[in-house]
Amino acid sequence: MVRRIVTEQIYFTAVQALAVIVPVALLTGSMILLQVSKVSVQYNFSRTAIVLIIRELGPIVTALVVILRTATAVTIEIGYMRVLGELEAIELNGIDPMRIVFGPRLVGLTTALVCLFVVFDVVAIAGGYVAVWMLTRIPLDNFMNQIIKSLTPTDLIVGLIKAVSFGLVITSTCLQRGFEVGKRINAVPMATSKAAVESFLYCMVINVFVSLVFYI
Amino acid sequence: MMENGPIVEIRDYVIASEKAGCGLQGCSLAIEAGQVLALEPVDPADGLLLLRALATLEIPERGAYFFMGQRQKLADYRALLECKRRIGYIARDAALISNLSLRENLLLMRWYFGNSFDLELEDDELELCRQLDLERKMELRPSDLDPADVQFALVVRELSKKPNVILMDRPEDLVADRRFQVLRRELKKYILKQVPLVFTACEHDFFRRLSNRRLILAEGRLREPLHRGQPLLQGN
Repeated sequence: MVRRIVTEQIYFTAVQALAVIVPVALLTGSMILLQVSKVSVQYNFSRTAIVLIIRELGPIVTALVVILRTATAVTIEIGYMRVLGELEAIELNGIDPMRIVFGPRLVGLTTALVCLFVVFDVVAIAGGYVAVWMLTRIPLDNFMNQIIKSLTPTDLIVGLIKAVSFGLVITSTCLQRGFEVGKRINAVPMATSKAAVESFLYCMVINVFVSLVFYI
Repeated sequence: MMENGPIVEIRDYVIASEKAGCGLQGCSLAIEAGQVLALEPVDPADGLLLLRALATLEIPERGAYFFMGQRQKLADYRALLECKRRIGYIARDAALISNLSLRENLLLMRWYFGNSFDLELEDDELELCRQLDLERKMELRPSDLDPADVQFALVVRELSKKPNVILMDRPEDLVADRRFQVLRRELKKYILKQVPLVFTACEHDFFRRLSNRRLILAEGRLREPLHRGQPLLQGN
């Protein structure tokens, strides 16, 4: 049963969000690679693209989409469950809400964020290639070779560490803010706003911290 | 079920009232098998608070809680889940889960503990749903049900737990509903099995006659009334 709830959360957070993350990734990737290609005489084009997309923008833009789309929904859902006594109803069934409400959302949302991060990176690089190709007519194999050569295991690991950390911190913040609503229904909008802002802020801090640890 | 001793007991419970009422100011109460206890609170909010305390939904500032003779750790919510599972709590603040259909709500516990979605309602539960006019509403969400349907759905959910004790807040609110007779018949079945029933009654004399024990809750304390009510099965 817990597995099904996790799967539903992944479906809601990852699969349904593809319609948002794909265009955002295409636009971001094409914009970034287009700009980078113009200054590629001075800088290593593919390396700069990797740094910007996989290390920095990928995790943070994915986190932003998840915060806007899912984290707010989770906060509202938990807030209403608390106000309406639904968490008590779960306990009255002898079921630990940590197991069927909090745990599955933590696992589902974090897994979904990691999946979306991978999708974002792939689509952003593909979108970037299309944009660059329109300007330079660079062959695909040439482009891909440059990207693969520039990609180090550290880049992938850092991206994944960021995605996992963002998923955990976003879910924890939203669950905590939703739970704090208590019995006050008018506290739900405030809790949602706080959860979204704090989640983004924490993600930015983690982003800087992880980058400092690995690259400085 | 334990034959001797109280099924649920609270000792020296102190809970401050957050809203209306006086809260509980050192309440002690032992509920034994076969008891049909009518609580008559001066303030309905205190009556509900006491029922919530008995259902372990309220944690006291001071006091001890015993279930089947075992003292429970009130600070550990996980330890209380087993008690909650064995208490039928039917009250105006009890809820169904809004993003599940009525059928899913009724099956939640069985699905969870059976770890399978293939499990279905038992025949007696389906029959109760049919008698309470819920059978054709099984796929509806709680928000699509009217408040009386929700209350009767809570009755089905809580009774399907096969509880060791039933707590009910103001059942007189349901008297006007034609399905009340079904509820009364079901409760009687449990009473005949010696499952204790505790309910708050504020207005209706009928419920005072139902009980074999009455207590008045005033200023946060329980006391015996001057006249005892007649036993349930004689009065009807």
